[in-house]
Amino acid sequence: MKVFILILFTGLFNTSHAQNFISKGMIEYEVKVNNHKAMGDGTWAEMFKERVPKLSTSYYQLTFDMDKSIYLFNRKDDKTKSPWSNDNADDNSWYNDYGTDHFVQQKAVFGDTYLLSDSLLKIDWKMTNENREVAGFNCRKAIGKIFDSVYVFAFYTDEITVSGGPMSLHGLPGMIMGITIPRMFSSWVATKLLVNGVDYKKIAAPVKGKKKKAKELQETVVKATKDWGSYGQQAVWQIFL
Amino acid sequence: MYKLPALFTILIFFSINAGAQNAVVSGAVNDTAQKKSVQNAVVALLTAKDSVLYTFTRTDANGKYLFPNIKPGNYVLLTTHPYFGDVIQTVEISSADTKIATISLTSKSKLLEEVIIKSGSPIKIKGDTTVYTADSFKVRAGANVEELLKKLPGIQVDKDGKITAMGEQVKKVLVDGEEFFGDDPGIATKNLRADIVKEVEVFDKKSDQATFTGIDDGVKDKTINLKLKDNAKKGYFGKVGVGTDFSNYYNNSAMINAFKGKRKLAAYGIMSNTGQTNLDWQDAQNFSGGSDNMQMTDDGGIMFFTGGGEDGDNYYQGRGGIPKNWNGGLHYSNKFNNGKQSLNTGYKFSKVNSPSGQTTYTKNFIGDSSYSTNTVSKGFSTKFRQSFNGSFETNVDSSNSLKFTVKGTSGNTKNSNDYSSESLTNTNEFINKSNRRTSSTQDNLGFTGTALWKHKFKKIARTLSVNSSIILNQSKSNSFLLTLNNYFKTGIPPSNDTTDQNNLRDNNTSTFSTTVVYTEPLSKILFLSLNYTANIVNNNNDRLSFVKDASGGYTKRIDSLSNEYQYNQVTNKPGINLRLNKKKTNIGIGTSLAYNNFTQKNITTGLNRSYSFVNFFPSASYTLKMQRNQYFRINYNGSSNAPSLDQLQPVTDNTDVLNKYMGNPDLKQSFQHTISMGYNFYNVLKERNLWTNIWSSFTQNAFVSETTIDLDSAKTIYRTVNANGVFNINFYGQYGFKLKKSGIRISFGPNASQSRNITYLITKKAGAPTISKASVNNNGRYSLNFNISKGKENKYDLSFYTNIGITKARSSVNTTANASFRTLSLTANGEVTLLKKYMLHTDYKYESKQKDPRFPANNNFTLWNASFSRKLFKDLLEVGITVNDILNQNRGFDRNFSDYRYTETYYNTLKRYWMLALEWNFNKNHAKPTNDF
Repeated sequence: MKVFILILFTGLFNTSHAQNFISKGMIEYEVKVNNHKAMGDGTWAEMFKERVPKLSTSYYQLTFDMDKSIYLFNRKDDKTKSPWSNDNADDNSWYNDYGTDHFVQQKAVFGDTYLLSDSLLKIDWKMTNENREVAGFNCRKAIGKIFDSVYVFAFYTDEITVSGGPMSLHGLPGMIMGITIPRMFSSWVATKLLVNGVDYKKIAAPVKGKKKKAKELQETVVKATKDWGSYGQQAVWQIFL
Repeated sequence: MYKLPALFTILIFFSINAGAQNAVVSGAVNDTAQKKSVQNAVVALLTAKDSVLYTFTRTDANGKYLFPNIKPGNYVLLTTHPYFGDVIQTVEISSADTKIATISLTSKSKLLEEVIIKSGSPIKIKGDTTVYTADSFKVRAGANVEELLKKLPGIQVDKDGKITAMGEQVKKVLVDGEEFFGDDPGIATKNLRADIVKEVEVFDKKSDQATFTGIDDGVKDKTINLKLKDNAKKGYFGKVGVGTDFSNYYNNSAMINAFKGKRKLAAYGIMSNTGQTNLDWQDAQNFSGGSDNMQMTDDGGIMFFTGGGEDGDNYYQGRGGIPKNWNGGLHYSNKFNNGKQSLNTGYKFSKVNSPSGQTTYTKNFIGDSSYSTNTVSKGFSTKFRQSFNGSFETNVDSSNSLKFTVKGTSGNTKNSNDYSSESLTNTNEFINKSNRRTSSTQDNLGFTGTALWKHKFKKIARTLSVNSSIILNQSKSNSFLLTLNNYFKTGIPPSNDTTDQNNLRDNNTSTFSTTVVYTEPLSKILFLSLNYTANIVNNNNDRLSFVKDASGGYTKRIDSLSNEYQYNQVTNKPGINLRLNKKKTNIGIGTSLAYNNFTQKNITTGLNRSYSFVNFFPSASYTLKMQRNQYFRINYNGSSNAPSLDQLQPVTDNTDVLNKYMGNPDLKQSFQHTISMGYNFYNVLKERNLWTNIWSSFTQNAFVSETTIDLDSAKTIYRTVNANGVFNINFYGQYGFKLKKSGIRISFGPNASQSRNITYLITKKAGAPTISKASVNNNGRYSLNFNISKGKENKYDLSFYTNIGITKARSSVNTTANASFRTLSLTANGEVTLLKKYMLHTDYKYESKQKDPRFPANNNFTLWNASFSRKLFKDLLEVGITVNDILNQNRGFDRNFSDYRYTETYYNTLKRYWMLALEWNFNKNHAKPTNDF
């Protein structure tokens, strides 16, 4: 964190603001899942709540360079591990090309590995006047909607010129530093940004897995999970976000 | 807030202008103070209607920007830059190219406002948290939280609902420390009523209540936490069900659960004579304490326990005739000190009265001859049982927890039975006839107490736990036996004997046990666990038999049937386990050694025996998770079983004079090897699955039966002895898939089991040598099932199952004892919802067992049930009519052939009845709405 604060300060005293904007780097997101909320209510859930940590934390890294980025799992906080955590998803990767509006993702889907590609999600972002500081960056709040009905509360900064974010979220005039998706009981908050010493060679489309158009697979998964109730819905969101 | 209509407007808006030409929009951004162009400022166009981002760009080195292709319409132009204040303006774009006037940005300047909070009794300042007591600030009735906040000093709410506390904007409003409908402060303040709020806390630091965003990252966010009054979280729910046919049958129940904060008070009562003798699983969770039988393992897994002490609650297994039962229970639980302490208590009682009737046909195959025994019994039993359980758990600190549990039970059973039996030779001549009457009362008392201390070390997965328990059980019974036996033998006159006696039995068992478990992570994937158990069991059985004397009292002791016996066991058992947890493989290997010291004290004869065993309990498991949800696992376990006191005590149980049981003090303990193996896969997307499972056990020194038969009188004496060569192997497989177009699910699979059992047979006959033989019985059951189902949620559900099988039994004693028969079962279930409110349910089952010529009855029957119900008053009330066993063909029937005998049993069971049932669900709930948009 100190690293980028230094960058900012040098920026402040610069008469021209041209150099202060960040167009490449690596952001680490702290991802928290509220296990207790995901369980819902009821006596059965109450019993679990006493034994399962409330929040499970893991860390993901988004490496970005101009209009391309890759989002990868980094590590888990073992102290907060939930018995439901899906270790298969640790190999997932999200490659986004914001310039050509295209993504390639390696995803674990019910035990199989798929290589999904498609055009980037089209998200209508409603802009707000709320601001919040995330990881030292002043961020503006925008509200988007994915999967027809799932609200995404995003905080983006215009100090980073790449219109990206965690997973396949994008489309704001800057980098998304924080997200809350209440219906997925999850949040993603940037905790650090590195500009120097970043391995930009990582930014490459994954190649492993069964090739498939994301939209086609999504239709199949929606069909297969439609009788699963809210659990099925969660599965679809987790796979295709 | 941001719903579909807005989207429609965008679409309509765009479609109207579809014909119009798109415009080029351009402009420039500069700095007010320095009049310099500003590079990299974001210029964004939002649709005016709903502020949805339409497009954006950034200014170039000269501060210029250009949108090449903008649809005509009304927009909001938002210009932002990290070091300047935002500029927001509305613009109207026509089809002509538009040049927007240069936007001037003003540098951000921050003014820090100091706010001094006046202290007064309604306001407390705890460290960095300011707490307002809500009731100290008067608001109008029905006011929402926003109105309350406006009254609080230091807090302002502007006309848009934006909240400022101590001069800073409030980013978050929590309810009881949790987010309320996402993180928009307005949702909580506008939707919650002020009168349910107890305290308003304002703080700006990360705390225990840290929720999702913002707070945890070290950023100081002004946050308001609304603490609700405890009674705001109170409510109740329950149901009352009444069912009757207005003459013979009834099934009534009532349950309620009232909660207030963490306090839960629940009660239930059931009265039924249609077999509902307890709460079902769902109701047990809601209306009694639930089953607290889950534990988290150190690596984050979950373990469930089943059974344990509750078996006495459910007497009715369909064999005891038609029971009448009364059940009731009370449950209270609460949590104190923010959940650090919890208390859980419950009381239950049940009373079951069941008349019974049963007929048993037995064929005994001995050597090259056989004889049959037929028994008819009629009886009545009444059982009353009550239990109390309590547990108290306290988390001393974050690394230590203590849990105490107690459970007490008391029970009383009264039984009276009349038996009449006859034994016949294979030429249908009587060997004996017997009439027997028994009556008994039995009182049981039990107590269990445990204390569990768990300690977590700083290192993840390093734990120590100590569990100590005491179990005390007492059982006393008093029974009377009257038997009249007649013996017939060709060539000599019939003889008879009479037994009239009183048996007293007093059994006391006490168990003291302590287990210490220490787990140590050797690496991230390798775990070591060391455990040690010390166990002391004292068992005392006092049996006294008295014969009726001339005066009619039972005072004369029968020495051969009376005995006082003690059986004590001391076990020390150290163990070690290693577990390797990798992403795809789990391997576990472990062993423990049990040093057992047994002492048998025959107090009556003064004969004592002591012996020691060292037992080895190896275990190994291997699990492989493969791609496509495939799992393979294999387990091995070795375990030993000590004989029970009843099997050991060298005294005869003559409850049934023709079939006596005698203890065998020479019994060794048995050792069982269990191997199981399974392979499963489930393809979610193709909806195909395969489950396969093999499990087997091989027993050394197995406990088997030794039967001594006096062929002249058909009197039999049983003992338990050790034998080798007992095993059983089972295989199960099931493959299922869904037909894509029709949505029909199909599944099928085989089921096979093969077992070997050994019985020792000793036959005696006057004038002939005693013959001793081992009867080895090999039994096999093989079946195939085929199932079809189709359903549509809230519309219909149809399913059809078939099962065909063959059973083969082979006995080494006599080939005429061999049996082979086919079974067939067909089941169809259907449920249809009509007009959303009516529900029709029916199930049909046809069971057929190939008739065995050695037995009288035909065993094919059809059981058909149906019900029709309607929901009323928003599903709160359900009215229905049920008919059970429409064809009145239900049969209680059982066939058994595990040894040299072959038995068929017919018993009373519930047959046709109808019932009109009403179920009313009620609830009143102030609880917070669930977190959903």
